[in-house]
Amino acid sequence: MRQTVFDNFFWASGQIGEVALTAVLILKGRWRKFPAFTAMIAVPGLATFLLFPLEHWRLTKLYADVYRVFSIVDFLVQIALVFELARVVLRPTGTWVRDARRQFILSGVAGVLLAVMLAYMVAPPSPDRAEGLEIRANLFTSLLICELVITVSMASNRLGLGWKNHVMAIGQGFTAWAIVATIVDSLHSYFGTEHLYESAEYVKFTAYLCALAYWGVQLWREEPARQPISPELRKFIIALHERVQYDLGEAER
Amino acid sequence: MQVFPYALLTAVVGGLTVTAVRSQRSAIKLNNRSWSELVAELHFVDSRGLILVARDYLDPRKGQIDLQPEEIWTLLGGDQGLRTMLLNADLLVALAAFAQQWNLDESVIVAERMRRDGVRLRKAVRRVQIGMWSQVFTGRHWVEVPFQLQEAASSYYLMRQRLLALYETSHAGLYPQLAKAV
Repeated sequence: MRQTVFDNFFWASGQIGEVALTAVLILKGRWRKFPAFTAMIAVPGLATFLLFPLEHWRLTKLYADVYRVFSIVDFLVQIALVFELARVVLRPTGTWVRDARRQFILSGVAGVLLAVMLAYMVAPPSPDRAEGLEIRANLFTSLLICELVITVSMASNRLGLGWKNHVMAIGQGFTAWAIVATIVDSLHSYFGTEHLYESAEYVKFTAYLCALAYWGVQLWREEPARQPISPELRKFIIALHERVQYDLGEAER
Repeated sequence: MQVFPYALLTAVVGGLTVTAVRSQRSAIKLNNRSWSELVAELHFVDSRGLILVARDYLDPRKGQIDLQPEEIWTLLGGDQGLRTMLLNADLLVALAAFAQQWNLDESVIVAERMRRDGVRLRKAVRRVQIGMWSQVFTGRHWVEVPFQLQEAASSYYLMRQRLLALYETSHAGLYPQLAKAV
């Protein structure tokens, strides 16, 4: 397929944005707290680094295989990011806040079922079967990520858990991008690859670029200092958590 | 092309978008509210009635079954009273979390205990509401309702007491204003 000026512009902007954000994550040491997020930003750059020579030497078969592997890795990294957000937000003292884990798992299972059902039910009008399958797979991924990240946000609000600045910024950017990706992938499932495909993809990519810029600025800034929890206090909280969990379990029987 | 899958997909995506916006707004609100704003948002709860019902349940004495279900319902302010408790519960937890800047050790633990109380409060209120609806449709009294009312009152009472005790030790200057508000 012929590359347009827009394609090249978005591709180059994405690369620059990802490299810049990776640099911020490493230089500021944020990767230690958000390894999955760092991986999500670094993986596309690594993919391009490997795919570019394959395309240049016209190794089409190998290119397609590597591309598929990276798509799966990208999906897994996004799922890992959702769990990372859940770990930071729903386990503020090192243990799951009561009811947060159960709510998260239940919503996750419901989200998977709903995403599978919808991706199966839609019938994207595409002359190529593989393209149709890819559209369904993308729709499933977008829906699932979107549902899970909203679940984390809702659970934390319901339990009165505040989000610190950095995790809040990652959560907001990720949610906004997931919503736009879901809307775009839903449009693809209706219009297929013939109509509006490229325009909708540009919208999705613009949202991604905005998210990259937002993350870059927010993660560059320092969070307001907060006194860390001492190891003794952490031990006490874990012991208390286990005791109360047991007592409640007994009381609810 | 079938219409139903796309109608369902549109509904799901629309629902997700609205939920995401509301959820993020609520998270920002939770993070940015000042102490005075949190206190100002607390709704009035008749503490006399609440204390009476909660203590009758938590600290049983002679004549512990004297309080009748109708009386409990009235003392707690009926349906409106239960809704107010639910609204206030999130604010009480936020106020406990706010105290982390003066007394990190105690407030982390107290906030976690209060969250647990809050979970029990929500569960009890939900069961009361189911019981009341069931009563409207079937005309039969749901035996569980009075017990759940007491559960709700005692959970809210514990949240209130935990918060007051936390402020009493961590910020005596704000305590009188808080005691008046809750």
